[in-house]
Amino acid sequence: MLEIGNVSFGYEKNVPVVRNLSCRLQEGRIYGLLGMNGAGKTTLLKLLSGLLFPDSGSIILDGKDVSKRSVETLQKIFYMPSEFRFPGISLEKLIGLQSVFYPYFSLEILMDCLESSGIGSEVKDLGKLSGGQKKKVMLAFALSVRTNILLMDEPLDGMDIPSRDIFRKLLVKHTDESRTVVISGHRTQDMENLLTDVLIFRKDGTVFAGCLEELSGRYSFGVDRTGAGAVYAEPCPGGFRVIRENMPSAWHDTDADLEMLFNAVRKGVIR
Amino acid sequence: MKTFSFRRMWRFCRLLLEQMCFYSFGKAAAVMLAVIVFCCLLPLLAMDGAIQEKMSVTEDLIKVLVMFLLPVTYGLAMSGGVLVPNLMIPAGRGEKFAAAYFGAALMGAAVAVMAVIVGSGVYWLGGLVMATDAVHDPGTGQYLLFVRNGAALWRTLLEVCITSTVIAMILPVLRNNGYRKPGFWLGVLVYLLVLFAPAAMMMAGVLSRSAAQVSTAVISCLLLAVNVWYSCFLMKRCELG
Repeated sequence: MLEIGNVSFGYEKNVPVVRNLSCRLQEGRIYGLLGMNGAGKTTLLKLLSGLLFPDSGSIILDGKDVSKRSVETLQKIFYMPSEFRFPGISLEKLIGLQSVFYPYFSLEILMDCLESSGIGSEVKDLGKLSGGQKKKVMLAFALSVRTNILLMDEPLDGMDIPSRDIFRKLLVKHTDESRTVVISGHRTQDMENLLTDVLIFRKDGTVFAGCLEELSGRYSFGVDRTGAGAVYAEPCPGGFRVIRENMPSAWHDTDADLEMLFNAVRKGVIR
Repeated sequence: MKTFSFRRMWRFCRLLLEQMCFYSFGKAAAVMLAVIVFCCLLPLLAMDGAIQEKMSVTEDLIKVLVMFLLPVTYGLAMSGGVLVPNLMIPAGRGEKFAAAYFGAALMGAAVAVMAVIVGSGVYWLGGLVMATDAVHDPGTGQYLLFVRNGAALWRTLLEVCITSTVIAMILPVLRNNGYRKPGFWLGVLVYLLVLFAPAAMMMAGVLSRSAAQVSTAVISCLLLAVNVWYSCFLMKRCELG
């Protein structure tokens, strides 16, 4: 379990990017990290991975401070950045050099992911792959190292629509109960039916954290002609897209509309 | 879990060496080979004088190559291009630090061995072409670069070791804009003063030659230890900065 305790961070003094964030990231959950461009999604992922250090507060993974960057901690975290470069070498060589550092690396999972993505295991020159193909290879490696924490920064950017579908299937297939996944992105459509929880950045650097199952019980998401009585409404063809609060006695599940939820949180309607 | 594992250190060293050689040891060796051949041909063809003098110039050129080119490349890569992308590799700081030095030592040793074998071969061929017998030692046979009579191997090793460490240490500081701080230049000044103090005192007639040599050796060893400690500190700052 990753425990985030009252974490604040800013690149400049008195300009916090992350403010007083406290939450627990549980095993077996897939968290969606949503926010505007420049809101601090990448910063938070770097804080969680130990690449940045909180100005105040702590991030504890299985009882150990992530910022200490011990080998044991690093073996439990895989961070997939949004932009990366591969050297002009074969996939086999890269895997040979990098996988030895991860004790639970699985060649079977790697092969499964590569085959499913249509890349195959025979890649002679990684440098010649397209941006989307590189993401697929990186995703395959990220899943095959089987770390407890998998942090992915905008993994779907640059991928075509079928590949996004394959990404979702592979992620669900190879994410077991021992694993925590955090995916950042700003295209909510890509993450629907994949996430179990959301972390949404507000304008002031604070973060809304919620379980989607609970949110979809508490709120109804739909289209209404007038939008009257809704917690949040925004115009759309045919009326208004609305979020309504359900009475606690009559909680029922409707699929949470991530885009609506994101807008409502960002505008401070849902706290 | 072990805080220092030789296996992890070696794996990280292998990764660093691959990255430093652009994932092709063959190409890196070919480039180094070309440079060594150039260092041999330049004095052989351009200089007048005895073959031993030309060999001495070649040795100096290769020393400069190893002392400066290698740590400069290594230092630059370590401080920016290699360390940063490898920050998430699960290896301890001590292991990464040891791997960096072990890697540098391996590269230096490889260049030195290559220089002895290839350089001596070039001189032997030069001797054949120029129809001179001067490249052969009457007592021991073929002259070998660095290990021929008159070439102080231990001194060369010490020079290479100290200079490489100093340069490797200074480069990360330069990259961190340390040169903008007066303290950095004061440190460099004190470092050089301490290093050359015995020689200056010998010239001033305060110390005898042998006393100056012993003092320089002791100071060099102490400074080497300081360099190693300080570069470890810089590496920690690079990782935790």
